[in-house]
Amino acid sequence: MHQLALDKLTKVCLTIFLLFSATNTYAADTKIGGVFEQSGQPGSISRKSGEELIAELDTDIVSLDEVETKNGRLKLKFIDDTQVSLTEHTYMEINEYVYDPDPSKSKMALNFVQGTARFATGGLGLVPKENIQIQTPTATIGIRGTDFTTTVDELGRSLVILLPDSGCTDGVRLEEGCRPSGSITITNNGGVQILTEAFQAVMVSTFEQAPTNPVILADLDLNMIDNMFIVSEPQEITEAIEEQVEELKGDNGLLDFNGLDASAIEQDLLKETEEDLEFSELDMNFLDVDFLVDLLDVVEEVGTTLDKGAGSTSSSTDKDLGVDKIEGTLAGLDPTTQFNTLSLDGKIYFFRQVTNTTSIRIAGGSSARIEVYDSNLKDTIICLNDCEGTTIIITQED
Amino acid sequence: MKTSNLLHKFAINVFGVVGLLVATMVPSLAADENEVFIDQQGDNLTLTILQAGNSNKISGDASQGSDLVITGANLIIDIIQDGNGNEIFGAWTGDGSGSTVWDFYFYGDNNDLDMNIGATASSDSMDLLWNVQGSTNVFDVDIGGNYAADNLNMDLTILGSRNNFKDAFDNTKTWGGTPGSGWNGTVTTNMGGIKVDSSSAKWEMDITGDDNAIATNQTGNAGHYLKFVLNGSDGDFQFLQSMGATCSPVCPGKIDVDLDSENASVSIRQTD
Repeated sequence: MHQLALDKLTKVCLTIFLLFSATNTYAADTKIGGVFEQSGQPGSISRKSGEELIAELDTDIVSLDEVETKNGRLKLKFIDDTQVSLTEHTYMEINEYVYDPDPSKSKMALNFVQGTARFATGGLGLVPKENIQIQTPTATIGIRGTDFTTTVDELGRSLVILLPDSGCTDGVRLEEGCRPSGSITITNNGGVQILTEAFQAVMVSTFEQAPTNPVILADLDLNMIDNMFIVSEPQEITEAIEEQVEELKGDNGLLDFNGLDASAIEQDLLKETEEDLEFSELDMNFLDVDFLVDLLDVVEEVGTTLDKGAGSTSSSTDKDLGVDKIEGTLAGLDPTTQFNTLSLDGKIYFFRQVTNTTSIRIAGGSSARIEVYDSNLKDTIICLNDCEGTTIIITQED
Repeated sequence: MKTSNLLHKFAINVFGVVGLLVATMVPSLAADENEVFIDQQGDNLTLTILQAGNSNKISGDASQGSDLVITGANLIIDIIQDGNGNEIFGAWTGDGSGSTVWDFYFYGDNNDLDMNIGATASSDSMDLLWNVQGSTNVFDVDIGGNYAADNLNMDLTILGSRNNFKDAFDNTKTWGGTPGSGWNGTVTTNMGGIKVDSSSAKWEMDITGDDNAIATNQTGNAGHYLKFVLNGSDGDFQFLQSMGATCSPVCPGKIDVDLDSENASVSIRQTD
């Protein structure tokens, strides 16, 4: 009862405040919220005026701000109590935020460009859910629920997961009784999918291609979701994509290509230019590499690492990539070392993007020692196999 | 003064030549100890030199080692030295007002290239290619040390061992820290290499061979890119990207290293 009265009082106060301080529209520089929580390296807030702010605790946000995290996390809280949590290296644009005494005129539009963000609508209902629009590069998310995550990779592909309601504690999984926080729709030019179950997820590859059929990620819990920094493809999603490909076959589209066609034999695939065949970080397929098959194991290890404290190193968290043994960093993205480590085409790929980017590819079966010095990082030593032979020293300073 | 014949093929087209001095030029399929002297100023130069033989030189005058001078805009230059013990001494300036394409090919061992690009004026928007097929070559290269060499696009391919970039600069700053004590920025090195002080430098290096040594320094007020591919054992490689303090908000750099090697030593330092 007391909480109910408090909510009503809050609504009344906000309404009075808005009647006196706001007209029908919000000025572009009006505060619409602020940085509610911050950990790790502060990110940045780019204002339309050209002003660049450090995203520290209590920093205001205004409409049209662009928020970017570095090696740290942010939680933004809007004045309608909506909360958006951004993990490391995430980029989000606030395309529109209008707060009006008449709730029907209030609206919010966010664009999740890259990284992982968790969105929880305000419990006060001051911005109607139908007036909330969440955009990713490949889909539009309609809100009927309250809590979900989006993870967008560098190619714009989006993984959307509906989260359970607030009664589901962080460590509780689906089979232990978590209820969905409502429902959300994922729409693009290819079609619509509706998520109605907790930990139900879809993957959207392009804006023209329909979202995959929803699958339930049965082994996830909220702790794991919060630590999933990169687009990761659970096995259920892999299967859903394969099903989608099978369904698309037979429509005389590109997927019906038959390699035995006479015309296909005449095609000289070697005419591809060398440049086209060259691998770059843009070709890194975060969704297909081997370590993502074991995503849940990786995420679990991340959680274990974080439990040791923010200053812990990853020296005890080693991981094998095929026949090669890695020590000092996790397979996949290690939140401590900030290295993305994976096995591609017989090489071990170490990719670290902070302000500057270093990518190292070492032939599989080799032995190497990588020392990393960063003013924002404790000493890190990564060993490939015997940790001897080639020595690589990386110094990255901001 | 050494004279005589010694040039296998020397073809030159000059559209805006102020001065060009060639000491001697006698056709020969392959001959040793040729010397080509160049003192060239002016725009729109297209120059192709092929020296086949050993101990040939391209330089400024008969003193056998003074800098040749080439300045101007829209310079298209191809130089091929096919043999051992060849040398190039030069101060090269490609004026930023036009595109400049310089290609150098060294086929042989123990060659010596001493080059100062941007020696007397800016050398912006250069497209520079070095193709080295031989061993124990020595390169003393300074790009943009005196004047700007912005937007440099450089491709270096080495197929050989123990090639060395020497003495162009000293890396007097850090390459790392002391393990266990955190980043400290106090380690210094005197390894020489290529000095580049330019914005938006894009370099690609493809090295096949053992025990090569290359150090690079990319500085300036814009992001840099360096791609380095090594297929060979041992060797010492240092790559420094140091962005200017005036970058706003930052000038991100990128270093992409691909190693198939045993016992190579690679140091990378990136700063804003």
